[in-house]
Amino acid sequence: MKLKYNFAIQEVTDFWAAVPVGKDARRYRGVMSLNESAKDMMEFLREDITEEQLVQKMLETYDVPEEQLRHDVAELIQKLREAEVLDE
Amino acid sequence: MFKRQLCHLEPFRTPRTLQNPSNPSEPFFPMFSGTYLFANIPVRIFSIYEEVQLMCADYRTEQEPEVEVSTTDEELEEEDKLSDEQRVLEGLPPCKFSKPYLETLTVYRKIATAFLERSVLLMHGSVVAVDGEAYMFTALSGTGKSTHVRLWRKFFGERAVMVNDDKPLVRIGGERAIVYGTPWDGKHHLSNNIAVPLKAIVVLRRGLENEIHPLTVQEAFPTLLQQSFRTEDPMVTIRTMQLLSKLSKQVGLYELHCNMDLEAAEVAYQGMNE
Repeated sequence: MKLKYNFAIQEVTDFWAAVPVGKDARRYRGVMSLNESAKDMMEFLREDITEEQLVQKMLETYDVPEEQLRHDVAELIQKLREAEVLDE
Repeated sequence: MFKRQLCHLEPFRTPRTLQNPSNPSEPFFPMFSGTYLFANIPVRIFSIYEEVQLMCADYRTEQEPEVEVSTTDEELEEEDKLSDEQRVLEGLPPCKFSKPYLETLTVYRKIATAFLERSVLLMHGSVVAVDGEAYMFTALSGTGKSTHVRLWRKFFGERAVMVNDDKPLVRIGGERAIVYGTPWDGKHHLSNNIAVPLKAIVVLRRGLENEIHPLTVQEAFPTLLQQSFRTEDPMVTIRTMQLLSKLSKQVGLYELHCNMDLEAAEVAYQGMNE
């Protein structure tokens, strides 16, 4: 799976905002607000990656229980699916 | 009314700094030029039509320009397509605009792009000042920004001064954000060539009752971004988001549900001045 659009991701006060840019910006009008780990997951999702690979990548970066990470990854993927910004 | 009043325009001369974008080897001869001070930045506008120069007459300056903008016929065609797409996105029917009007849009788009790196952001909203502090009301077109601000002018009388009814410029990065009047001031042409500290940005929603409450940056951000200038260029979007992040720390952010009674202005003002 990977992001359907090119997203610009920027830190805004205490969160991260992600919006599609380029020609894509006209089709999708939403803004996603993310925490830091969700922002990192979005960065990995710029390239084609499986859910399992994403979990492993995140485990390399974050010192948190694997179960927690699996839950966070699944949650973000669900959010992206609902926003229809994921190519699977 | 504006019949051939060319006295405020600079004498015509071929600008050496310009190239014809559609064919760089050919000389480029814009028809009109003038220098204007927007958000304290001197801008020289080279235009094909006279209208944009006449529209900006109140902002004329003798200062040397820091920014130069010019347009081509091809860009005006592109602007026509863009404004149609924008109208479709907002649920409005497509509309055929005149070339001189489209040129005013193209010119402002170019100014807004050049201003981003100077920490000045073009926003879509109606701005009114009361007792020397400005309040910006923002929302999708048709929500009633101008209508609500009219209530402020009625309620506060001479204490309320219009800054800009449609597309003001905001300078971000100093101790306080400053909002500037511009000649891009909406269909009722309400604006003044003034600079006022920006106290608050209010996201407007229609409601039966009048009620105002603070928003977190995260809550306000989608609306702020949608109502701010950006282009398809990813770097422009990033810059806009950086400026909005700074701006969010410098002004109050609120959501106002309001009807069209005069009380709406009083409730909004009280809610931001407790």
